[in-house]
Amino acid sequence: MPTIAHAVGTEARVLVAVPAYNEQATIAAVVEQIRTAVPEFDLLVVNDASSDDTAALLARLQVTTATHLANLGYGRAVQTAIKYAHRSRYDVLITLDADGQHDPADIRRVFDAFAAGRFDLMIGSRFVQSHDYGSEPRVRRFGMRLFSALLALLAGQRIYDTSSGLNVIHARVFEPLSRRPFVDFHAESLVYLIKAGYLVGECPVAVAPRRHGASMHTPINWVKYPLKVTFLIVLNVIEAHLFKRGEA
Amino acid sequence: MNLGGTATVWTLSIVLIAWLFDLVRRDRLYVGYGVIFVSAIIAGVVTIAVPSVLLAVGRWWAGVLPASGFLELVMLFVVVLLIYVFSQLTLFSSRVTQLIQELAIRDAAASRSGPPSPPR
Repeated sequence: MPTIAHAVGTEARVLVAVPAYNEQATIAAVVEQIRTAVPEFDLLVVNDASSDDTAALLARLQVTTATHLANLGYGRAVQTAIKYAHRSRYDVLITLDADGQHDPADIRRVFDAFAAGRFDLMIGSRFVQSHDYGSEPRVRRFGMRLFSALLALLAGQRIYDTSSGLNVIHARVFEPLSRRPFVDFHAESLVYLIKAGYLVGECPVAVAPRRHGASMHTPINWVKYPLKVTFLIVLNVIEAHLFKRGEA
Repeated sequence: MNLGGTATVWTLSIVLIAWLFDLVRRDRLYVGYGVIFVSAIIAGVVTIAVPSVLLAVGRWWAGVLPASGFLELVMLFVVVLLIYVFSQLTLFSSRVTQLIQELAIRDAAASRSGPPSPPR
């Protein structure tokens, strides 16, 4: 399948975006680590109506912040970052979770792999090297295997980490990602991009266990999330068969 | 159920599912509602397609509420109305979401600190 990959020049404008909801324990360290790791990149934090001291900390850190007036959820916070990057004409958007699990030092490595491979989306992948989900809780492990297998089956490409928070996104895909319905920009958006002919890759990264706050995956989400993502995967596959690339 | 009835049920189900997919695709129906409606329609079709299941459900339903053909039409109308209502709810929710995102983006653009990035 032909790809729509574009080169990223050395003068590319790059935005690092951090969706944050009640991350007072980690946000300051994450912001400082990003500033140290990639000082030449712009930084945006999307504060998803945090009810703790996240907003006050961000103000003290003097970081550009997009503040949601009501909690919209992780997916919409990522979408706000994509819309902001699109509107501000950035060439590349890098998303990074605020929980401190990703090492901001990995940003440059993933970005370099993205640029060298002319990718449209590069995933900072926890599992592409080991192919082992053993470190994850049983339910999540099952979900990750399921969505990885679904992608391989329906999109023809194996993606080992379909729910990574560290992604490098080319401006070419800002528009489709900001106007289509996605849950959390995980497997459902990957299926759409791959089926639409965009080049998606994985670059290995290390992830630390979560030390503060709570995961977004509550027991009720363990049921709702896979149903919604599967629904959108099926929808995207059907649409990809019905419409030619570029019309969707 | 005779051939005409089966064809009607299948046609209605396919039309409804196609409508639901299109609503979700255009962000006019929240994907969670779409999952519920599509699951319910598929469950209904499977019930009708498997005679033994249909018989069991029919017996149970007749015990609960004697259903006539007219009642089934009313239920179909209620389902369509529910889809429409949820679609309108989603539309309203999407507009509020867009408004919140737009305000956040404008706020961020206005408060952008530090030297501006070089032009492209």
